[in-house]
Amino acid sequence: MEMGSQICVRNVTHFYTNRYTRETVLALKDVSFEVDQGEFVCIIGPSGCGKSTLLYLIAGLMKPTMGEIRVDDRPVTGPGPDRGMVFQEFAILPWRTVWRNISHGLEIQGVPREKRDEIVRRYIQLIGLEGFENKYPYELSGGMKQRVALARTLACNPKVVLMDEPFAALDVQTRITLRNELLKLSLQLSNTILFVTHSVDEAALLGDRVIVMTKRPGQVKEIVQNPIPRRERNERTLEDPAFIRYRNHLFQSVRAEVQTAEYEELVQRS
Amino acid sequence: MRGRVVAWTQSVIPFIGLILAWWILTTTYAIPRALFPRPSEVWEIFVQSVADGSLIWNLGISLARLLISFALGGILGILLGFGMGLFAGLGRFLRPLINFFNSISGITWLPLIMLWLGLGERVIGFVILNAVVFVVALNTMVGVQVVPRVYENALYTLGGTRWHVIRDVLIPGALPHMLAGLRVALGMGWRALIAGEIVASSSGIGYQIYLGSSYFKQDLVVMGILMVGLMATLLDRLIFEPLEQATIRRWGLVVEHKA
Amino acid sequence: MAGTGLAEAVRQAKGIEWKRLEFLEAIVYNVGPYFLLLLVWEGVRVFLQPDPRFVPDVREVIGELIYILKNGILVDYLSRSLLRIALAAGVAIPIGILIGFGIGLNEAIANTLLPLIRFFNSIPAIAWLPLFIIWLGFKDQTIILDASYGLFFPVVFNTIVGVQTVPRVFRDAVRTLGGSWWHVVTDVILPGSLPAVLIGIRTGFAYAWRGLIAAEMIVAANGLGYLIFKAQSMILADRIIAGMILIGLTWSFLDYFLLQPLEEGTIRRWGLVQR
Repeated sequence: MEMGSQICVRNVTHFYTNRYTRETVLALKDVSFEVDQGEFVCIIGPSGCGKSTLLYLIAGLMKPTMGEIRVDDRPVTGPGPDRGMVFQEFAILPWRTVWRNISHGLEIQGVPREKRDEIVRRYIQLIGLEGFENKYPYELSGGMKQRVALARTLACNPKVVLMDEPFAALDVQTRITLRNELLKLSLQLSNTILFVTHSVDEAALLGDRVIVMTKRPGQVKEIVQNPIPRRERNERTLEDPAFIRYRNHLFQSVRAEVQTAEYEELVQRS
Repeated sequence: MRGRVVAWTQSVIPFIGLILAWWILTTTYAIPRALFPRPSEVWEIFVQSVADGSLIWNLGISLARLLISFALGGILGILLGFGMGLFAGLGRFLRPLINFFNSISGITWLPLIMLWLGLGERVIGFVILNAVVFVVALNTMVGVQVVPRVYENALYTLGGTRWHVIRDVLIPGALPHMLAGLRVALGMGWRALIAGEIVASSSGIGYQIYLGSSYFKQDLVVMGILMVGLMATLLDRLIFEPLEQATIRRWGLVVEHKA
Repeated sequence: MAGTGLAEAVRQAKGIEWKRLEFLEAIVYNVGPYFLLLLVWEGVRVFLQPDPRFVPDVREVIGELIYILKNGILVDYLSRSLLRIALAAGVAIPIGILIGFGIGLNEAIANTLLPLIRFFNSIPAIAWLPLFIIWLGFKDQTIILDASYGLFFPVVFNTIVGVQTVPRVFRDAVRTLGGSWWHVVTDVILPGSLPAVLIGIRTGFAYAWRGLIAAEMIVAANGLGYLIFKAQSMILADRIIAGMILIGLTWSFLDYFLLQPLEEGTIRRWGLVQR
């Protein structure tokens, strides 16, 4: 049976107005792509290319100026628990303990106490947060905070998990650890994951497919299929010749965009 | 425990030094007795006014006035500040007015209110409330405005409604500024209370200080001043420190300065 | 590119819209609040019909302002109040900064003075006023002393915070350049704590201004506080309100044209503001 694609972005063009300068900026131009149920897709591009904007549009936190976004064949009209989001800034609440942060979404949806506790316990175990249940966020390292944010999102069991540069605020070592953990974790999950990053390595290792975006105004430059299936990807994949070719291709593709963006900025300044 | 004892002794020694200096300066007549009483005299008048109940009575009246008006003004200010923080347009519209009324809050209203209401409780109540409301409102508004936007977005993606955002994000998020505002407001309230009691009342600790000065009873005046300081310190310890401990300190939202 | 043309068109269309909106907004937000205030004031007069001696008309208040301007009271009282606050600042700010530095730099000084300063800070200046009257009489000195008392503490506390929050690395950096302790003070701690000191001065002024008005009510025979207090015993509601507006305006001018630029000048210029 042919499964319909889960996320469908069609001809999305988006302007936004800078609140302070009141300049209108074209952030996304005619962006179209589809993501299948259970797929792990990464979006990569130079900074300011509108890749985060795209995620906010799918989350329903903003409305596109033109074009259409459908999730499960229903148009997105606003944010909802079927599309969970993990933010770069962690965004877990400082006034809630780890446990209460993870259970927050379930509380909002009115899940009864016992069921809630059971789900929270499961995700605390799954993500390795045992012993931290009663800590407040300020007592945690950045990596732990982001684990809590991920657990909070997954606890609601959303159809789609949107991740907005979730590891960008972490140090390199933690970044690599979390990347590998997420890769392993994703094999146990059935959720569709859309992951925005500006790191080529992250995108290459995590994504089943990678969407490369152009510099602003962001357009889809190309969509590349990962030669290695997710089940077979691990630390050693990084040395696989096919994977290296694939990774280098992504790298060249993004670098070209970064360079033109920098060049244009130079011309504008002079 | 031992650290606590050390810290306590350390903070008491300066006061002992001060009293000693006070005692030496007044008994050697370096400071004329007409200007400043001796420690023993202040102690005597303290014992005497505790015994005849006048100190407790006046302090009680002042405290009751302060706390009732502070509670009312605090609630009003919080509601106003939340309204202004939640609705950006309202905030922008009312801000110049609130700023202006804040700059003439409290004591400046005394003459007009005395003209309207005569002397008595309502005048003092109004002046305290007026001193409290605007400070609290401005701080609460800022508190709401500085809550990171991303917390709101996170809640929406968890399926939260506007009400959830207000209850779980904006109220706790505004708390650090709100508490700071309430703390300043309590100080402002004290000032307004004392001024009000000096000018427009015949009871309370402020009136007692003023009465003492008009009979040149310096011991009564200094005792009253010390009581005001003690009460203010005590109120801060009893109200704000536990509140902070239970909330913003526990959440790690206070940057501790070593001061 | 066609896309760029589209962007340009939208940008232009929005540009026109913004300009019109901005103009409307400017009117609503800059004139609106005061208009609302006048509306409420007149509404109370028309609908509640209070005793006109107690709730005067807007025109009467403006008339009174012009009257006291013409007969010289306004200029005289205003300048006296300003002179007093200036003198209070001259006394309190240098002492406050000096003590703040002492506490911030030296632990022994901090241990002796800080508890005392905390305690005296909890006693409002107005409570001291009766005692100051005994000491100095019903004179200007009494008012100035009272206003200085209010100004002093915020300056001290903010100076301490300023000194203590200068990042340690800056001090270490000057030391590794061969600087002496004195260099550290003049080149690092003085400029580094300046923004906090200025915030303290601004906060202190707000306390001192209120203290000044209160002290003038009780002690003085002139000044803005006296103006409104005297008017109360003569049942001149229009003069009281005129005086209150003057007090508010004078403070706003002081704050807007003197204190804020001072504070923002240093902080902004050195890029110390995070926002």
